[in-house]
Amino acid sequence: MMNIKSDKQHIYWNPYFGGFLLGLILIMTFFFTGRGLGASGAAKAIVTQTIETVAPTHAKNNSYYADQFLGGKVPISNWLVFEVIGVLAGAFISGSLSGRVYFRVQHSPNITARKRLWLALLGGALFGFGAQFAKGCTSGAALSGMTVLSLGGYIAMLSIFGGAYLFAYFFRKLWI
Amino acid sequence: MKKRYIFLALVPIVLSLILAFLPDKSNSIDAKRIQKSLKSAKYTGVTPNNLLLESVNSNRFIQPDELAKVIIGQDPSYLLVDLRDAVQYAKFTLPGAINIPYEKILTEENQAVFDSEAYNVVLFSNGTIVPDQVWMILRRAGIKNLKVLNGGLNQFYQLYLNPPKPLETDPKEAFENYSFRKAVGAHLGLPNPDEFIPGGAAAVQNTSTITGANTAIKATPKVVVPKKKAGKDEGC
Amino acid sequence: MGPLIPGILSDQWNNIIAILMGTAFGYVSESSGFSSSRKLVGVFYGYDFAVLRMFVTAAITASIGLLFMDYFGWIDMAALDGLPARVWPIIVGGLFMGLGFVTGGFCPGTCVTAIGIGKLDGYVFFGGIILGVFVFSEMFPLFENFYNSSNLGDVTVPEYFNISPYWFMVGISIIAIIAFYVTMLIRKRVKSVEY
Repeated sequence: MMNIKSDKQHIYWNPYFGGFLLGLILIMTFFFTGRGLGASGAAKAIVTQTIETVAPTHAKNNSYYADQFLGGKVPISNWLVFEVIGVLAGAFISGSLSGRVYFRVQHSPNITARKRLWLALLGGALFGFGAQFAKGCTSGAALSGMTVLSLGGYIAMLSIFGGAYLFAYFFRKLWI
Repeated sequence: MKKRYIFLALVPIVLSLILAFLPDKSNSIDAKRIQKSLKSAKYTGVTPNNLLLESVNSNRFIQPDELAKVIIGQDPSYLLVDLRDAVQYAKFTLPGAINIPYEKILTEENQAVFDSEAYNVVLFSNGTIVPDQVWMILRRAGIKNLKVLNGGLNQFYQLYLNPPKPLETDPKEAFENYSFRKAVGAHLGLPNPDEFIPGGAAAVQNTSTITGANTAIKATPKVVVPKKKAGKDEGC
Repeated sequence: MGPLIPGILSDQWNNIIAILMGTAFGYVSESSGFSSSRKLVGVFYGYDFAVLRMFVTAAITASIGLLFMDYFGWIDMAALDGLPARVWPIIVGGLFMGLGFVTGGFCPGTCVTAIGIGKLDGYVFFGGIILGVFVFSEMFPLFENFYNSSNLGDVTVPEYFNISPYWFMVGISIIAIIAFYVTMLIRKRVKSVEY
């Protein structure tokens, strides 16, 4: 088993092929449910549901939380939460078949694992914060938005990648 | 440059070109886009001339007796709109009426109520002046199937709280109308001033007919489902 | 006529389909290497443009596919959920997200993929997202007016510029092909990075 692990470990699919398959998945998702994929909405649902359980009056007073309960909706039973569970499963299956499942921290040799984790936390916080403004992330707003030719989707795509290119120079030591 | 990639690169371009030249795109998203851009350019409301003609014609008024028949028959094709403020609406209103304070009649969510065009809308308030003004405004915006309750709630309740007794010499219809109005009053739960209620005012408060009356008048307002999907954007 | 869920299929299928589509998404994503943060940020430093290629290919494939299905009447594209174009909030959000991307090396979708194969930085990134959402929600009253401002509504790009969506796709395809070619040239010139 060990040599299989090292053989297949980082042979990834051709990105065009992966993109084509992802496009087909998007078509099917839109065809079946009328909505696209996404991810940051699941985090939003988790936060709202936790706040509601821990401090219900605070949740009622804050219009951001309260709006998610309109119409009797239960945030955690959100389409995106189920989809994210599926993504976890799919990634696990694919990883196991290729021997890529094991606990590790992936970081550039220039920085330590600990620094990488702190930066991941910071990056995640910034990303989560920004995703609330745009009401989506790269999969949800940009990708699914662009699929239906939505103006918001294209703006999101351009501003996310534009913003990243803008700041990339300052963070190059972390990656290269 | 691998030949395979050049071939693949041409595929989306060729496919989109095919799409661009396909015939008969009457039902597609492109047709809807064209319709939308045409619509936004055209004014769809009533011209002032036609509005004048309509306002001279008193067809838009619905008489209290007709409205009573609609209420008792629970005619589902009618939508009653109470144009007064929320406080008065909560105190009492016609059964099944929804509340749109008239200052807010042109907001988008309230306009969505009229979009389905499935209902005959009856506008009412305490009198006739405000509903008639609202009628004029909504007609100007192109909304159809509007009626105004003649005399408003004031005349409506006066008619059914204490229907005018017909004289001996009146024709038979007058007596039929009188009985009908008393029946409407009973149906709406209005106390009949002819009935002797023992115990005076205190008993009036406690009798089940009165409490039953309050619930009858405050029937749950009709839930109007606007036609346009109310943006279920949950984001992602 | 799609979309199937509100009309033809009952609403209870929605969550099952969510899991299925998510599984497919996760599988494809992981197999294309999108659980690797160093691969993802390659697009910003020029050593690996896989993100761009996969992203744009997916968007174009799906758009052209949906447009064909819309033409044949199999789906009503106007009824699909788009993103309301709240211009300035989206731009501000995108800038924050871009910054987060180069700092943390993930986006939420790829982060979940990384969690699936055991990358601890993926776990921490997701924790960071939760933190970021929490901070935003608590600070929401400050942003509330801005959040709802400059809303052009759920408008599509062809509608906004009043061009045919099909010609728009032709244009996008051409731009994409050019972008793929140019990035291939760039990659040849950039020092390759082992990750």
